[in-house]
Parts: sequence; structure tokens; C-alpha cells
Amino acid sequence: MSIVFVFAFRPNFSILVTPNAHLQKDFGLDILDLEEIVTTLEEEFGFEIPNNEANKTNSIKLVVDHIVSHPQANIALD
Amino acid sequence: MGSSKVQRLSGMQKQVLSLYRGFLRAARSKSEEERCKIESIISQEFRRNAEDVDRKNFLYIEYLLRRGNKQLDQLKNPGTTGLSSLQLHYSHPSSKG
Repeated sequence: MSIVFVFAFRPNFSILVTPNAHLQKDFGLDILDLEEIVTTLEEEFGFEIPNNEANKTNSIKLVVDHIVSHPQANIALD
Repeated sequence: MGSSKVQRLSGMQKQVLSLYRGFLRAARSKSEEERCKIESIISQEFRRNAEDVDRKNFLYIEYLLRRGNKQLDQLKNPGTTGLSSLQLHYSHPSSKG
């Protein structure tokens, strides 16, 4: 599976993310940026990410795994 | 898990992040224009405090958390349509004599 996210969570600030990207190392995001990504994902996929999971969002792969494994996520897998 | 490093956060840090996310979630229920304003104000406020506040000043951080949670409760109220920030400039009274 290959999922590519385009984050446009702030005016004039968007990043293209592949599953293996490390958000803090590769893009220099800080922990508040990560929080914004988490809430953006919540809105996009229609469910809340628990706080303890959110604290692990420095790896986008973990985020993807969490979303894909969530039974209520609004995902149509082809 | 591989080589992903889990960020280890203190209890107080988790409270701050939880509050931040609460504001972001609350902002989603407002109009699109107000939401942008709210997110901008909240981001600036949290980043400014992250920069300026000594991480060991626990009393002040607890005060900020309590104040922030009250403000968040107000923002969650459907009757609250927006949020604005008033910049106050004042100097500490200098001791004389």
C-alpha cells in the first residue's frame, strides 16, 4: 500500500509526506505542528486519535497504520 | 516500531498538548473565517509561551493551563463565534529610592 498525504494545515505551508518520512527529522516540525497534523487527520478521516497514539506521530507510518487499522475510519480501500 | 523514537513527555507537557488540540478541535466548529483566525491566535500564543516561559516555572504553567481551559470552555460554547487577541504593552514598575 502506498499512501501519500499532502498537508496544507497552515497558509502557505504544505508538505508532501510519504509513509517512511519522519516528521520531526525530515521536515523540522515541532510538537505543536504534530498536534495540528493529528487534528487535521481526525477531521479528514472522521475519528479521534487517542492522546497516547498522538504522542507517537513523529513517524507518519505509525499514523497511517493507526488510520488503516481503525474500523471507523472513512477509507475506501481499492 | 522499528527505529521510531517515541517522544517522552512529562505529565504537564501532555496537558499542554491536550489543551492545544482541544482548541484546534473547537475551532473546527466555527465558521471557516473565524477558524483561521482562532488557529492563528492559538498557535502564536502557545509558541510564544513555549519560547518565553521557563519550563521549571510550574506554578505559572499551571496557572496558564487553568486559564487556557477556561478559555477553551468559552470557545466550545456554540454562542461564541470567534476569538480575538488584545496585545497589551506594559513595563514592570521600577523600584525607586
